[in-house]
Amino acid sequence: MKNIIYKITLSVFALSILFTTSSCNKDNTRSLNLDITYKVNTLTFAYDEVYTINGVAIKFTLAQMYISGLHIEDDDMNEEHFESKYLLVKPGTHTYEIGAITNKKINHLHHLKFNVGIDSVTNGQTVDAFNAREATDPLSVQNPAMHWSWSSGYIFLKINAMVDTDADGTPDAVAEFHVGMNSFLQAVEFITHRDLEKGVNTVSLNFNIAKLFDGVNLATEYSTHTMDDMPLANKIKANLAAAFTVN
Amino acid sequence: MGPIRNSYKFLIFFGWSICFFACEKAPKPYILDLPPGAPIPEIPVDNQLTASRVALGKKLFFDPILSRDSSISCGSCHFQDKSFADNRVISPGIEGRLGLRNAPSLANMIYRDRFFYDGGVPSLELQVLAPIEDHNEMDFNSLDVVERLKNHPDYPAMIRDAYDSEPDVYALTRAIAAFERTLISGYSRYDRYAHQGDVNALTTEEQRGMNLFFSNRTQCGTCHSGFNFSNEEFINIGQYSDYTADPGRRRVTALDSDIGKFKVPSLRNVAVTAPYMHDGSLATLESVIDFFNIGGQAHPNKSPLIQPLGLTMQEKSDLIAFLKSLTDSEFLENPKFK
Repeated sequence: MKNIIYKITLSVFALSILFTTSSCNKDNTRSLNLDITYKVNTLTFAYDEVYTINGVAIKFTLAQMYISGLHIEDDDMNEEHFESKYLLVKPGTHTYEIGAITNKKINHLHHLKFNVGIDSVTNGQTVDAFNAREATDPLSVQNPAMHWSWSSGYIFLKINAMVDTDADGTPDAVAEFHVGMNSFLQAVEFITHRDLEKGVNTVSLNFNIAKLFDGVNLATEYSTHTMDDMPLANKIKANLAAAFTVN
Repeated sequence: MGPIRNSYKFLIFFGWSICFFACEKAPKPYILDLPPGAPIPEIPVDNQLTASRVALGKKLFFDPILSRDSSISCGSCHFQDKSFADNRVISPGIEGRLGLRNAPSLANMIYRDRFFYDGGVPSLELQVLAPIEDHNEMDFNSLDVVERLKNHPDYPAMIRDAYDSEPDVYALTRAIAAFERTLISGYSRYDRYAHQGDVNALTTEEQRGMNLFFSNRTQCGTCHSGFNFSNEEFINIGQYSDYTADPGRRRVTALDSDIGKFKVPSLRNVAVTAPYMHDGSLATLESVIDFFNIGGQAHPNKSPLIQPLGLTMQEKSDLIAFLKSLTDSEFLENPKFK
C-alpha cells in the first residue's frame, strides 16, 4: 500500500514539475509583429480614392510590396535575423507575424532593419522555387501577379494607379510603377527605443505612399517597369526608406 | 484438388491484377520523332514527355480559356503553317492591343534556352506565364486560369492523368511546355541533303547559296549555326542606331553593352515566318538579305561580324534559294500538331 501511495505521489510530483516547466517556457516566449499602415501624407489610404500628390490627382488601384531580410538589434549589437521571413505587404493587411525572438540576450529593440524586395538568391528563381510553393507562401504565384512575366524574378514594389495627365482633376491615364531586379533592393532601417516584453512585441510603421513620388511629376512620369524607365524606378527606390516611419 | 485449384486461380487473378494496375499506373511515354541529325534533347526531369502531358498541353495551347476575355489562345499568334509564327508585324492581343515584338517561330523550342528576344525567361515552363499575364497579350493571371480549369468539364481529369494533381500553375506551365517541346522540325530538303545523304535534294542554286551562307565571306553560319541555325547568343546587328524603342537584352541585364542585342533567331522554315527581325520591320527575305548586304547601321554594340558583303544579284538569289530549302513542309502540315 505504501508503495502505491509512494508511486502516486512521485507521479503527481513529476507531472507538476513538467507542467510548471512547460508553463515557464511559454511565459518566456517573445515574438515580433510588424504593423504597417498605408497613408497618403496624413490621409488614410484607400483604393479608388482620389488623392492629390505633387499637385496631380491620382487614384490607386494596387499598392503591394515585398519585405524581406528582417533583422533586429539591441544597443549591444545582439542580433536576431528572420532570414526565412518574406512579407507580401498590402493595404488590406495590417499585422504581419515575423516570428519568435530566440536570442535571449536581446531585451531591448534598438535597431530594426529590413529590405523592400527579395534577396538575389531567392530572386534568382528556378521553376520549382517559383511555382511549386504552397499557395499560402507569399513567394508563390500571386494574383495580382508579383513576378515579372518577361523575365525571371519578383516585382519588389508594384503600384498601379490612374493619374491626371491633362490637369482636369480627373485621373484618367493608367499609371504603373513596377520596381524590381536585384539592384533595386532597398534597405530600410530605424532606430527605436523599446524594451522587448514577454509575449508579442509589435512595431508599428506607417508607409506614406505619397513620399515615394517626391521629385516625380506624376502628370508626365507615370510608367516604369524598371528596365524601361530606370531613372523613374531609381527615384522611387531612393524615396522608399523615407516613406516608412515608425510610430 | 479443389483448394489447390482455387489457390492457382487466386494466384493467377492476383498476378493479373498486379499487371493490370501496374500497366494502368505507368504513364504512356511520348516518343519524340527526332529527324536524322537532330541532337538528343535535354528534357527537364520533372516534365518528362508523356502522351497525356502532350495532349493536355496541346489542348491548352489552342484554348482561348487562357485569355482574360477568352478571345485568344497561344495558337492565335502561332500558326502551324507559319512554323508556329505569325505573318503580322505585331500580333494583336485581347481587344486588339499591340505589344512590342514580332511573334517568333516555336519550331525546335526543345533545343533553345533563355526565351524571348532578350532572353529574360530561363525555361520553357516559365515562358508560358508571359503571354498569359502580359497586358497586351492575354491580360490575365495564371491563378485565374487555374480557377477556370478547375471548373472545366475536361481539364481536371486530364491534369490528374498527366500530372497527378488538381489544376494548378505547375501543371498549366508544364503541360504547354511539354507540347511545345514536340514541335520539332528537321525534314526540309536541306536536311535530306545534309543529314540523309541525298545529294540531289538541293538544286545547284541552293547549293551555291548554302556554300555562301557558311562561308567566311558572309559569316551567316557563325551565328546561325548548329541543327537549329542559331548559336543562342545575343547579337547587335546594327538594325538601328538608336534602340530607345526596344533596347533588347539590356532590358534584362541593365548593361549598356547589351543595348540593341537580340537573340539570334532560328532559320528553320524561315521562308514562311515573314515579317522578320524582332520588330517585324522587314517584310521579305529579300529585304533581310539587302539589310545584311549593306552591313547595318553604326552602333557601339554592333557585332564586328556585320560588315558590308558586296553580294551580286545572283548571290542574293542563291542565298534566298538556300533559305527557302530550310522549309519543312511535313512540319507545317503535321496533323499531330493541329
